[in-house]
Amino acid sequence: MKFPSLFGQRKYRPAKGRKPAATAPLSSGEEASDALEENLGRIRELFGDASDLNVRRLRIRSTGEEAAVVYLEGLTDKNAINNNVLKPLLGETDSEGVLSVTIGRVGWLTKWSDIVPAILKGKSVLFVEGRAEARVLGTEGWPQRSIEDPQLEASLKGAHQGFVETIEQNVALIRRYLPHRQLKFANLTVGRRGDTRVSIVYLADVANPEILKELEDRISQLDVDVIINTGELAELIEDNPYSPFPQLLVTERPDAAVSQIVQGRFVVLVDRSPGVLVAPAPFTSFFQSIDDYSTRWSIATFIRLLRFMAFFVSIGLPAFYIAVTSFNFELIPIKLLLAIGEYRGSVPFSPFVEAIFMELTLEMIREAGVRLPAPVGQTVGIVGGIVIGQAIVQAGLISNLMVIVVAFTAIASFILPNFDMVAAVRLIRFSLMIAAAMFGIFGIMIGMMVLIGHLIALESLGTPFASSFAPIRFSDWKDTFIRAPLWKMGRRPEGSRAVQSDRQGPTRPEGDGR
Amino acid sequence: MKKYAFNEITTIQYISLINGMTVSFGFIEIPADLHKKAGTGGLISLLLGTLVTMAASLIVVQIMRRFPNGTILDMLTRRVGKWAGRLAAVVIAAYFLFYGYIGIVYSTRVIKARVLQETPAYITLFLLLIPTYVVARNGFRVLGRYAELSIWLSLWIPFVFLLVWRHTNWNYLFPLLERGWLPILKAVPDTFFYFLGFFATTLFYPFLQKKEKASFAILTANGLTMLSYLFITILSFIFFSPEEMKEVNQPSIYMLKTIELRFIEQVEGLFIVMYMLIFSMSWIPPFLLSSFCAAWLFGRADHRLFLRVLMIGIVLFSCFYVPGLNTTYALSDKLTKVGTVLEYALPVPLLLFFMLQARISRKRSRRRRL
Repeated sequence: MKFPSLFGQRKYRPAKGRKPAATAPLSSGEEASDALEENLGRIRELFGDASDLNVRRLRIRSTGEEAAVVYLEGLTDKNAINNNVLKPLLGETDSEGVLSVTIGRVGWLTKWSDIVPAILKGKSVLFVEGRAEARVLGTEGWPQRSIEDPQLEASLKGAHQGFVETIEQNVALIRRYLPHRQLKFANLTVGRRGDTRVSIVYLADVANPEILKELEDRISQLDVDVIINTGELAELIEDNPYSPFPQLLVTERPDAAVSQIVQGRFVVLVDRSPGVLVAPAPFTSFFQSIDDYSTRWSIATFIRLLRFMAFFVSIGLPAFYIAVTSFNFELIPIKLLLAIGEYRGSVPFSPFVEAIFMELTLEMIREAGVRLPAPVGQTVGIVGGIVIGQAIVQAGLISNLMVIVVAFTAIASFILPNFDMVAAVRLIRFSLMIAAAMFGIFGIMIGMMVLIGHLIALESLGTPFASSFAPIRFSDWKDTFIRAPLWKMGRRPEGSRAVQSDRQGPTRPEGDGR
Repeated sequence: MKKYAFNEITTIQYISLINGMTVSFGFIEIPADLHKKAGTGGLISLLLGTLVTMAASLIVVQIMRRFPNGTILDMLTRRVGKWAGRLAAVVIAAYFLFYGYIGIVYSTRVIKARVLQETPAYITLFLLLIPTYVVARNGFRVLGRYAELSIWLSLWIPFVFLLVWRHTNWNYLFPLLERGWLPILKAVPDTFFYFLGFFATTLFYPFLQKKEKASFAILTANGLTMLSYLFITILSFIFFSPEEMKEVNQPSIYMLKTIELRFIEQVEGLFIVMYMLIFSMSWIPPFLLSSFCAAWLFGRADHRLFLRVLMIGIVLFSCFYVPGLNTTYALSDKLTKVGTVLEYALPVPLLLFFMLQARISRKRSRRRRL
């Protein structure tokens, strides 16, 4: 079967032992004929017995031509077909002999290799007796959800509109924030079977064209069946897929995406997925939340610093516990050491086993909480409270301090605003625990050095992932470790390599007193 | 001709690289060493040593300015001959291998003595090689970032040392010239050991983003090195009495034993572990430079193969033998000698040679014009 746009250039080979598909091979250049019956026969042949295929025959009132409208039931807007296609055709409006319908997006197609995908994507096609061209009508209308608050990234003061699964809607959400002619879109299609629409959004006079080219190159080189979700695209185009760290940011928030666009970055929209990709995404951008900009800057700065601290606590606290209780007793004050010894006296396991057991339990509770439906979800909390709580201590299985350590790490990891980064933190935590169990505090340090070495070598779309601290860029610190007052952020971050870096003037009104 | 594009080192990174390489374990060793050789007058030796070092590093930069787009190896090949370049590659590769090896063995020994007493030394050494490979395989650009980050992450060190401030006595410092000027002058060449490493400029130079700032940067790096040495030396001298100074081994670490914090019982163990970032600067850059020279020698752009060979070599060798601390001191004496010749003495005739060559060729071209 030769059908380039749908099946690529692969040769068609019928599966063994099964009857070949009912469709006859379709050559790339095959065109629609001018005989209506022939066309409809071909359609039936190509679609087989698709239950949602609808062929509506009619006679155009004004010209008297025989015609047929072909569309897939569920993917089209019934209202549009009834009122804007069938009604004009059957009515008396067509005085000039042109097939006039009241649909915005229309076109003429002649090749079957164009017509079939059009139908598959929700357009309706009008065949007319005596014409070799088919009229394609943009009547798409598939099931979609309304715009809601993004679930994964809740926000207190930010907008309550999240991206949805339709790319047109998402484009509209972005345009609402930036009605500017320099907001440009680069449209690509990915997937042999899926034909997923992917759209790169950027400010043409701000964003760096080299990065755009790199991004376009990477996406257009993809050769996959279908892209179901943005996460898949991220994994396919990332610089280093073997790293635990996400190198591209996925967000469901239009306001966050737009804020990244004006910083000179690129946003990649993927049709059928509510998440959009932000690229390039440096390490520090995973610690920013859109609320930071709408709360008072001093509070936002405090929270930013808290997040970085939480990152280190979440990575290293269990490892540190293991190190001081099984290796480096000399590090902690003798009083505390004695207290730990008292608690640990009744515990039959080594600190490492204890810690691994508790951390794994915590991970399970978290994972269970994510997938369970809400009514059952409450049970997780109750049952989890027994495992991470007083009961397990009383049973003499785990020491008091370990429970505190686990609870502490859990809370610390909840502070981090990005889900992918939290996942990375969890993985690193376990490797550091193993290092600590083997070599104590020195093992942790080796682990941290490897982590640093890895972090500074990572790139996000060819820009340094660790940007703003290695290589050091003090001017970017205004919006990374701290959040400077908005009117001080006059320049776009250097890390995004924007070609036009002047963002705003020092335009804070000073009042009449000065 | 930009042979080494993509691998750019910023000025801050360059300063951090040179500063980190020179300071590293000198910070631990220099007070006792100076005191042994020149008493408290060692401070003056240190200042004089810095001046000589600054002059020597300026000479190195002057040499490199004559051929800004290549390393010293490319330069020697071009101006002197193919074999001069190859010889230099072998010598420099061997020198930095030796340099880095002493660094990693010294760190291993310190850790073995103070943190991981029961773990065999070779295992500690293997562990240190893991981050080394992770950083060094990515070339100079990542090395620069690593150096920068190590320095920034170590800025807490002076503040920890200030905690011993109340135990100090300035009278210990005097008289400065207890034994006269002669031992002070004699100790100057011994301070060179603690400044070795600036010669790496000859290989870093083509990668520098702003070459016009190289002189300024290397003076800053030397200055920072001097400041950190001066800080720890003065602190040790006023913390320990002259008699104690003779007894104490590694005074910088010993000093920390007096610190009592509410939340940490023993500061010095934690200090050594955290100091690993600076320690690592004494072997990660040299190993990378060494494998870079080897790759150059064989005409390859990718240094990773040689880095792996070097690492595997060290691992195999260490399985059988890891030098003890005293052997390391003996080795570092040798390194001082080799380094003084290579880094301080050799650049002078080299610069003169290049100046002469330039003058002759200029004269020749003028004569031709006439």
